[in-house]
Amino acid sequence: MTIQNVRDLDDMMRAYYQPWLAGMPEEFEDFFFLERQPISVSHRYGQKTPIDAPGLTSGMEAMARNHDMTFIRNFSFATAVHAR
Amino acid sequence: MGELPTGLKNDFEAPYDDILLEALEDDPNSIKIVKLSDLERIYKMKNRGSAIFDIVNPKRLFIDDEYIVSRTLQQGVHKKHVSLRMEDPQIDQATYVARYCGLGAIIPTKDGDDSWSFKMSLANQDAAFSTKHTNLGFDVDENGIKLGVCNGETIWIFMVPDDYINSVCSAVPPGTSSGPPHMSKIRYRKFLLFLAKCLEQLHLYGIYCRDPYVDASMEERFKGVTNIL
Repeated sequence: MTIQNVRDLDDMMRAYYQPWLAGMPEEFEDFFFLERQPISVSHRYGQKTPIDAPGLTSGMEAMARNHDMTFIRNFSFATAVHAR
Repeated sequence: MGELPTGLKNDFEAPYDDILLEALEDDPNSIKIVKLSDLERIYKMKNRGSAIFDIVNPKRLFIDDEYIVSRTLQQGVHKKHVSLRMEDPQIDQATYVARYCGLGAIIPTKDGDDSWSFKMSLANQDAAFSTKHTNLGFDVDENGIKLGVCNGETIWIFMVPDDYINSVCSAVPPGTSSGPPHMSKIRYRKFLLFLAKCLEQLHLYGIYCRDPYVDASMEERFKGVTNIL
């Protein structure tokens, strides 16, 4: 998918979800969907992206470029270090 | 993977006479002990038998002579405090949670990035999702579906309570997972019907959905109305 495809699908999911719920016939209804919404989660383990200063490394730059934080509710990360 | 070790034991378990018993809080006879120097040796030798044995039979770690500065050398140490130096910090896990319904977790900052890619792959749901080290704010308990891979990151959709999205309930503590992440087969098909309808309306990839409310308990009927899989 292209970035534009993803943006369009994101808009469509938000626009169509409530109408989809509203149109559910009785035999299809599921409380699971009625009180929930589909949100995306991006998850990656073991990338070992260096975070050494000064400035952002290429890995960190890619992370910042690939996620528009205005669309993000929360971001969590774990660091690994060599302890001496 | 190679051969799995069958005889599990750790030959490096320290004899009780070899350690300072006053350092132990519990009954020394009930505790298996391994020296830190031996643990390092086991690691370097890649002794899988011992490593697995130690996981199954947890031990107390004892800091032994090899890691203690001798009294003669201590005279040359003027610093009062022991320091721990952390080097080479790396991000080893990252998780982004979208703010609203939709694909917010993978919306990039800029358009026109040739290196950006998202491959939707809905058929294979074998992937695991670990909440370890994550702070999702909600419980993944049978709420998820793996959507695909974007720039090396695994993308999931989780059905999250409205109260969480509207911030009217407290967030679930980090790492919480009271059940497996995958939603049931029927709910998976129901969600795919919704997704297929979205893709149909966008005229993307020839995907169609003739009935977004077909009986999802019947695989044949599901496959009869959509080609999303």
